Amino acid sequence: MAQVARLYPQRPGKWIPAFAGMTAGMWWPRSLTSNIPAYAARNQPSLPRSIPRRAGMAWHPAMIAAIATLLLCQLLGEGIHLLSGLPLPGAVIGMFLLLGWLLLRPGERPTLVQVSAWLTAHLSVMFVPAAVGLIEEGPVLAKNGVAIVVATLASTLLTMAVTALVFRWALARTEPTA
Amino acid sequence: MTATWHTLQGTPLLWLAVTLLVFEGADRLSKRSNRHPLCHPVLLATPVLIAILLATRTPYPVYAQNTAMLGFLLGPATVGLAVPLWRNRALVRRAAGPLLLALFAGSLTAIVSVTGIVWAFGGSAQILATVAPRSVTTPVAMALAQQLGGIPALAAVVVLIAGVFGAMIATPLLNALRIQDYRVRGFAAGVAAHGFGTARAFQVDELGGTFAGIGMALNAAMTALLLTLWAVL
Repeated sequence: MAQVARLYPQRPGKWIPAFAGMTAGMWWPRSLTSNIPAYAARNQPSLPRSIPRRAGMAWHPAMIAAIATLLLCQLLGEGIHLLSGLPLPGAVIGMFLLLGWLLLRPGERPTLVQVSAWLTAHLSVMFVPAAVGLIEEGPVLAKNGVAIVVATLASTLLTMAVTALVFRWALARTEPTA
Repeated sequence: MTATWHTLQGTPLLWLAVTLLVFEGADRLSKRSNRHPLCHPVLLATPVLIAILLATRTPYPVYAQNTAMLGFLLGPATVGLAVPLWRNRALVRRAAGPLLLALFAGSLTAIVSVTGIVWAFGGSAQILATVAPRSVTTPVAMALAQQLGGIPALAAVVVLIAGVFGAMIATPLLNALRIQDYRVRGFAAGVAAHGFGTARAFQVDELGGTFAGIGMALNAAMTALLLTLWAVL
């Protein structure tokens, strides 16, 4: 055990093999091999067995299922979108489908939570290529740029104020103590 | 040399590497600025990438085609927005009535005000379709803009501007309105400024951040439904 542990020191945040702690002792009676460095060295994790693991995000087989779930919902949503001709984007229909599915089937889903949180955390990089598409919109921007910026700023301010005021008003009616 | 360049220019390898490198640099700058909304990595990375495309004379379609993998992830990410809603279902249920009322009011205000102002400036139908989904999270906004006949790239930038501005005004505006309940403050930030508002709300208060996330996800759904209704009518 000590031999392998020394070969793969567990530093938090670094990539370590998932089976770093697994030694000959797990396959043979410990007393026979654990003190023999040659055995420990021979049984060090082989390449396919060493799965990268990190402090924040552990990669494990259930993640395939979580990704498949997300893709299946999107696929069904896209199918519904194409078949029904609804102008609702397929991914948004997929979001409703996933929400319905989660509400209908109780249970904790730590992996799905982890995967979708990871995707949400990295949304920014995903729309960079689209934002670079502005390169082709020069004429549109020159013509409408001011209007778009003014409208966006004013609308953001109004939306926030209206949402907050309506929410406070409605809460005060339903929760008189608050 | 030129032959090598021409081969690489048509590969996702080159453009994904360049995009991720530039983004990583921008992200580090943003981190250094303590995540100031004006230093958002997309705002910093986009001009740099545009300059690289111009300098290398790469047509945008070539770049777009070779970075399509990144855009593809927006789909599953959108589907994944259902997960935080589901996780916070108890919170949502407890204030369901006021929440939905505020959501409807906010969503309608967002659509009507932004399209109204652009229309008053004489914007075309294409521009109206581009700005209409401005208060929802980027992937949904881009999909909606495309669906309604707008320009997805411009929609992404409009949403970005709304987010940056929303995150900057949230605290002073909500203070001026004397809103004290963190649920209300967070929800308003999430509805009006999607991910930016949510990130800002989380900096201030945990419950506020959660409600901002709820507001962002619900608003994506509500705006999609309202705009769909609008398109059908």
